[in-house]
Amino acid sequence: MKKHSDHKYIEALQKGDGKLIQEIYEAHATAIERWILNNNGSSADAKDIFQEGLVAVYQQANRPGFVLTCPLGALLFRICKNKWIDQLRKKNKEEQVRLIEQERYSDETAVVSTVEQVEEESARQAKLDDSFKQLSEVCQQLLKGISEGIPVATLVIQMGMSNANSLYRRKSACVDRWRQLLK
Amino acid sequence: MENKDNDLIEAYFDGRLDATQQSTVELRVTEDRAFAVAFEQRKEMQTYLKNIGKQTKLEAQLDQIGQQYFQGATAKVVPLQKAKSNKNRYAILTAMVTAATVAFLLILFNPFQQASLYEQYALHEPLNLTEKSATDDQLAAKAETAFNEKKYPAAITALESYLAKNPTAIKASLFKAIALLETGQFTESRAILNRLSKGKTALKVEAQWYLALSYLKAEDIAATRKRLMDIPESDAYWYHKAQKLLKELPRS
Repeated sequence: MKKHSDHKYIEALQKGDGKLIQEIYEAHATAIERWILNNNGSSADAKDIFQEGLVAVYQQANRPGFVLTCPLGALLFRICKNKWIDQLRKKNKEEQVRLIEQERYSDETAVVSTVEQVEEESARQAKLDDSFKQLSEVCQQLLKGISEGIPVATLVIQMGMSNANSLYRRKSACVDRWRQLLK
Repeated sequence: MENKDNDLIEAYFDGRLDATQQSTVELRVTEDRAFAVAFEQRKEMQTYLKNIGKQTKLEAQLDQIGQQYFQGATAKVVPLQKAKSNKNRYAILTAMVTAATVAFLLILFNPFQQASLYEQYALHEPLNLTEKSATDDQLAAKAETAFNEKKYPAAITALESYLAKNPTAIKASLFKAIALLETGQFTESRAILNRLSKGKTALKVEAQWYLALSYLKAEDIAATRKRLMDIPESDAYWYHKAQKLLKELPRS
C-alpha cells in the first residue's frame, strides 16, 4: 500500500514536532470533541480520548515498517469513537453503546484495517505497561537504566550492587518475573 | 524453555555476545519455535523499554497542546469574594456598570455566539475513500484532504473527478452532497440526497438525515421536521439522532 501524505504527522509524533502536532489538533480536535459532546461526554473526556488516540497511533508507528496508508483524520476519528464506546461500556451505559455502534460502517477500508492493527498494538502495550508497573522499583529502575544506555559500571554504583555480574543476574531475574506477569 | 536459554537471550540483548554467538542465537530463532517465542517477547519488552521515556514526554506535550484546543476541559470557576467594606462599594458599582456595558455590547456584536442548530448537528465523519483495492488513490486522497480540511469547493471538484471514474461510489456521492450543502448549493445537494435516500444502499438513512439537515440549514423548519419523521425506527442510530433534533426544533 502507498504511503499516505499524512504520514508526516506520524513522523511528527515520533519526533515530538510541536508545530505539526498542533496541526493535527487544529484539523481534527473539533470534530472529535463535538462527537463526544453529542454522545454523553464532556470536553475533558474529548481531550483525554483524543490524546489516547494519538498515543495509540504513536505506539503502532513504533512497530518496524509501519506506514500510514489512510488519512490520519479518519483513522483518529474511528479510534477515538471506539475508545469512547469502550468507556461508555465500562460505565455500563449499554443503551448508548448500542445506539452509537449502529454508526460503524461495515465496509472494508484501509482505515478499518489500520484501526485493527492500532488497537491490537494498543492492547499489547497496555499489557506490557501493566505488568511492568507490577515489578519492584529496583527492577523498573534497572531495566529502564540499561535500556537508556546508562553504563553498567554507573548502574552498579547507583543500585548498590557488588559488580556487573550481580547486576546482570538481578536483571535476568527481573525479566523472568516480567515474563511470568505477562502470562 | 530452560533458564540458560533465557540467559542467552538476555546476553544477546545486552550486547554481551560475540559475533559467532549472536549468529547462533539468530539461527535458533528460525529453527526452535519455543526459543523464537521467548526471543520475540523479549524484543517487545526491549522496544517497550526503549519507547517508554519518549512516550511519557509525548504525553506531556500532548497534554499541553490539548489544553489550547479543548477549552472546556480546563475552564475553572473562580468564586467572587464578598465585599466587606464601604470602600468596596464603589469598586462593585464600577464593576456592575462595566459588566452591563459588556453585556450590551455582547448582545449587539456577540463574538461567542452559540453554534446554530445546523452547526451543532452537522458533524461530518471524516471522508475516507482509500479502499484497499482502490486504483484512484491520488484522486481519492485529494478529495479526502479537501473535505476533511473543510475546503468544500475543492472537495466538490475532487469528488466530481473521482465520481467520473467511479460513478457507482455511493460514499463519494454522499460526501459530494454534503460539500454542496456546506457551500449552500441546496438544489444540487438535495438532488443527490433524494436519489440516495430512495435507493437501497447502506447509506440510504444517512442520506435521509442529510436531506433533513439541508432544510435545517435553509431554516425551513416544517420541511426539516417532515424529513426527520421519515427516518425509520429500524435504524436506531439515525432514528435516535432524528428524535433528539426533533425535540430541539423551534415551533413553526
